[in-house]
Amino acid sequence: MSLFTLSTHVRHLKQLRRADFSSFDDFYLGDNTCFNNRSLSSDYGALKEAVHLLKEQSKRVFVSLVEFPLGDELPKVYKFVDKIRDLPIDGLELSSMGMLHRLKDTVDPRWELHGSKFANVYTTLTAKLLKDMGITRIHSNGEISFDLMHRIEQDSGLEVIYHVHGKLMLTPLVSCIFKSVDREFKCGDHAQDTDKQMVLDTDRWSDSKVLLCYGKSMYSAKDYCMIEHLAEMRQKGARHFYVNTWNESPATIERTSRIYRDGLERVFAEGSDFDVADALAELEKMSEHGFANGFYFSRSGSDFVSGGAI
Amino acid sequence: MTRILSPGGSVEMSLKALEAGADSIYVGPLGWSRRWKNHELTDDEIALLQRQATDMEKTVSVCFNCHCGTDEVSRMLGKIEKYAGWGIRSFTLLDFGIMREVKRQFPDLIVRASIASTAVTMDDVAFLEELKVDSVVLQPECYTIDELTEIKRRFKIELEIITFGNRDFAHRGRCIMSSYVSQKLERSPDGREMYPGSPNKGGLCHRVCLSNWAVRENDQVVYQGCLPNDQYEIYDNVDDYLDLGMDWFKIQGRVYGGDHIAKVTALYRGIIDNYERTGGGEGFAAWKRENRPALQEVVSERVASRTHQTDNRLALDHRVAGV
Repeated sequence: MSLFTLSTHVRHLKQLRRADFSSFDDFYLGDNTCFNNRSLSSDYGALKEAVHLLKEQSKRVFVSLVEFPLGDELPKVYKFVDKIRDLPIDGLELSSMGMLHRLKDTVDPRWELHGSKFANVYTTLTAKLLKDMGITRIHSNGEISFDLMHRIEQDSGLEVIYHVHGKLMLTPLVSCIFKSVDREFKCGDHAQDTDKQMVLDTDRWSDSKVLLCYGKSMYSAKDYCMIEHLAEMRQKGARHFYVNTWNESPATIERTSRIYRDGLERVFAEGSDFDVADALAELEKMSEHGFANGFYFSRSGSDFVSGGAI
Repeated sequence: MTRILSPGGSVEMSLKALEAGADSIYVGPLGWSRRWKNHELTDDEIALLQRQATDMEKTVSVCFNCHCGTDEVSRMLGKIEKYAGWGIRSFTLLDFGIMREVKRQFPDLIVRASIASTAVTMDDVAFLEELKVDSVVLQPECYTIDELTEIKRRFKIELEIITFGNRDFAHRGRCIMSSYVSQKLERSPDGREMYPGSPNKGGLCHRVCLSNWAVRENDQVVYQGCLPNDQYEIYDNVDDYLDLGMDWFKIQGRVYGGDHIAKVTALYRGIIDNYERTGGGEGFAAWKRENRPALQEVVSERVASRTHQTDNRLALDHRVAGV
């Protein structure tokens, strides 16, 4: 059994085909903010092909369900869950308590249920509630410190996946920004344009003034970066790690994931720090807006805390 | 009959709203709600308000509608027990685990699920009922009247609808834009960790969405302005909500002035009373037409106040944020 896992989200089949994701172990497929954009959360044919591709490489596959389904999305999501029962997936990612309540006793019992970042776990009590409802692993709450998240992990027995690199999702949106700014926009138009994004900037907020938006998701422009803290995280008991590859070039995906894979292998194999200077320098070259990791240290999310501070 | 739940951002606001016709007031205990301390009440103020509301045969509901640290849960439960000892029966909560624990320890207390618990589907309501939650705050834009009617038919849980407030750009309770740009750690007088910048953890929201954003695609500006965040009210189809038996009309606005909240409360008191008096139909429609100017007045007041607060928030936020 592997000592750690490295995971990522992939929205569309096109992204999976054009980049080298071999450094990852676990994959969350789809877009958990919108059902109508023909992502792997709603396109059965593409999902089937993506699952086949990944299973050939012995990867683990989870399908991301829409977190806050509005209007007619909810019955569509349930229908989709029924349809994918014949696929050899390992489980689902979800955070809607209503969906979890409905699905927990009816989905394939072999499926693992993982909670997304917006399951809003701030306390051990809620972690235990999720565990009682069948969740076995959750993505770390974006806003709380590493220490607090780890304490919740230890006290509840719920495994936590720690976001260590890439854009941080700041919020799911009620309305799609593409539709808000373009009346001609049709749902699903961007399924083929996987690089589509909106860049938001303002003259407030000093160096955190740029945000990125895709459909119904708002992201930091800065990359979360915990490369200097992997050894400490491992020492404190972290085992599951996540790199967000959304909207990165194939070269960046391949290189970033390889850097983290190598780093984690060293850290877990030797139980000690590794030389991060080169890794950090290489990651910096690929980061257009710089680094952040402040939430892990109880600071503003856009702050960056350098090594040895956990 | 539908009841009115009005905001109590101060003792003065609370009493004005109760006198204007609110059936209950919701207040935030200092350091434990989603608003900044200027709009929260001390324990002494909550005790005073509870006595005065009881004299008026009305109730107070206390909002612990932010997330506390896992180490602070016992302190929150202690405060709930203390307030219950004063006769306060109703508490708005956000954390699902804490909701379950409160119903376990204090089964007779009323637990209301905050709007920030993001109940956007019938299945979310079903989950809350299973958790033994007594009431849930819903966003009108997430439910059709038919869906609400079906929910009322199927479930015992009481429904509250925000009747006068603003639509958020982000899903309430899930947004961390504010704390991403700035959050600091402060301690409340009773030692609780507060984070100005994180409404989720108990502190002010910097209203990042209301900044003047340039939205670009391929380097072209496709939109300039604040992100969608409009004021709304349910005046035009309020009959539908009354017909289906909505349990509570909740008025948003602890951060606004007492006189304004009293006016909004009085307007909705008029709506409910005249709906009862006329039985709905043309008589009620006539009353609504006649009182539309009152609606327009409070909407204008709200929009102006919100704009003023957001503009001034720059100076306040930067002082708080230290940027």
